[in-house]
Amino acid sequence: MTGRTLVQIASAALFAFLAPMTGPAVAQVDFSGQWGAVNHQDAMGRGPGPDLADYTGLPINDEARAAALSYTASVLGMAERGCMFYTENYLLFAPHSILIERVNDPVTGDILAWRISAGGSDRAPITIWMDGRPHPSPNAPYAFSGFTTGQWQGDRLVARMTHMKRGIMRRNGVPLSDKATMTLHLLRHDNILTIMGIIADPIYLEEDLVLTGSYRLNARGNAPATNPTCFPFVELPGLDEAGRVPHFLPGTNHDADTFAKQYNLPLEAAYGGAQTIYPEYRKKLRETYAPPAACTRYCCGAGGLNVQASGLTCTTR
Amino acid sequence: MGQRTWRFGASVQSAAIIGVLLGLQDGTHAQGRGRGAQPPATARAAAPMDVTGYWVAVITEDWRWRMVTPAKGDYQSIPITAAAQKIADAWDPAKDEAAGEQCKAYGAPGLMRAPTRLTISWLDDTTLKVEADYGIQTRLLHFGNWKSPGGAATWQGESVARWEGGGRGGAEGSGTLVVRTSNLRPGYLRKNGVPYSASTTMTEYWDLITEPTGEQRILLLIVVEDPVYLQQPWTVPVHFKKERDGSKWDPTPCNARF
Repeated sequence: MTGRTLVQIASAALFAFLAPMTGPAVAQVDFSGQWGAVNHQDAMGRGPGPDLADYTGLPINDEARAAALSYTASVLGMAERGCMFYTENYLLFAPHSILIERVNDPVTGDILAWRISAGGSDRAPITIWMDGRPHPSPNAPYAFSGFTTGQWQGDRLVARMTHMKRGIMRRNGVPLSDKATMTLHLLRHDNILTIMGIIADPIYLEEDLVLTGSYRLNARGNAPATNPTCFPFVELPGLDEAGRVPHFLPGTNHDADTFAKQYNLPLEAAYGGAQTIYPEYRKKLRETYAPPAACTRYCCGAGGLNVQASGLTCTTR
Repeated sequence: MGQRTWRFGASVQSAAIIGVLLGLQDGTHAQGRGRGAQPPATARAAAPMDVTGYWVAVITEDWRWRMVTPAKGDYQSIPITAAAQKIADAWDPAKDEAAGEQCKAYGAPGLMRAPTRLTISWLDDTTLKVEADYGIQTRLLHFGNWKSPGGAATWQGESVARWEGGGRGGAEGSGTLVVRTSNLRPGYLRKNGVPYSASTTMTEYWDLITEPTGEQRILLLIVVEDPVYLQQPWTVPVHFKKERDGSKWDPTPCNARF
């Protein structure tokens, strides 16, 4: 055997040994693919939408509550707002399936970014940059897509988003400020993807809001990579009048207590707040709460969107 | 000659490198067998993360179905079968109380989504103990070659656990605690009588999240499979926040109504 042959063998052996060691530094887990949403919690809130003035489970403060009670979804009928995106935290309470794409560096082949599609929903796709680029200056423009960088923590992808525009925490008008940041944890176990989001908002939250969602790998999924085109127009008569913006002045929201009454909840519980999301709050509830005699609406969910099991005989939807 | 000598030298170096690397490989993969054999690490010693301590469920999702008992007939979000609907529609907490079954909503599949605090500790080197103040329940997660002693099904069933991924001293967040529970006494997924059967199995994936502030959370993915009362696996993540101590521990007995 010649010396050159020995060198070649040694190099090949070295490469074979090192290749599996260097691989994980590039991509620990493959998240790419079509992921079908599993809406096995908050099905109505994720699908058709939450009840008006249902702020349960949200550790919001008084400012957020006041802003939420001034909100009416009629604003979405305005031409200039009809095509406006929700902020990216909508990922955590939307019912949509998603497409995750790996974006490769064209030269090195390393992961440049992960892209989470909007799944046809009213938010922009999320690009998670993996190449170590810094976040922009706080004075840089804010966008509905925010700015997100990621890094691996073992088999988990951890992404931090900044530069979000003002948006929502819930589709019934609970606001999210443009000071908010979001940390996403993406974990894959077999064919289940779980995304946990930790949202910090110094303007509207008493403490961080943690939300989770699960998805199943779906070989037959067809969540689009891009959003459908939106054509703005005035959806309600009168909304094109100059200076008119639908809203409720303080104390005039006629649905301020509808949800609480529907479910026998004290108004304080329906209005959320940090104290309401911990077990000890049940001591307060115990003194005032009695379950409604029977479920009268949305008992099985809403149909479609994977939120209702088939074959049930629900007469109260 | 000069070139040949270099090649020979390179060959010797390469061989030495291979030898060292092979030695490394042997060292990393051959623990517990052959020369210098050490006994396999216990589950406790091999734990890639520390989930022991005091934890509190943070109810930011399904609040109306978890913090309070929802109305009879409200099975929203759970992919139940028609057979399950029939049972849920007949829910009568008074009957459960009379039968001494007021803990039906406190079995493992219901308990882990409950508004509870958890105290997690090692019972021994191969058994992780999970105590809940909600209903004063205790789960034992058995690692290794644990064998079921047999016997009647219980609210908490029998749980077999293993570490997946990671490795002691591995990267932060690199491991998962996987738990599979069976031999469950039939109970409720939800306080208002949405049932699960004796054929139910529950798989859990426990992940530890450490935030830049040092705050720790458990992200727990629960997958409940029941060929009798579920049309598809009920797949729900929940999360717990770590607490400094057990000062808020508040044991409350099972209650069939609230």
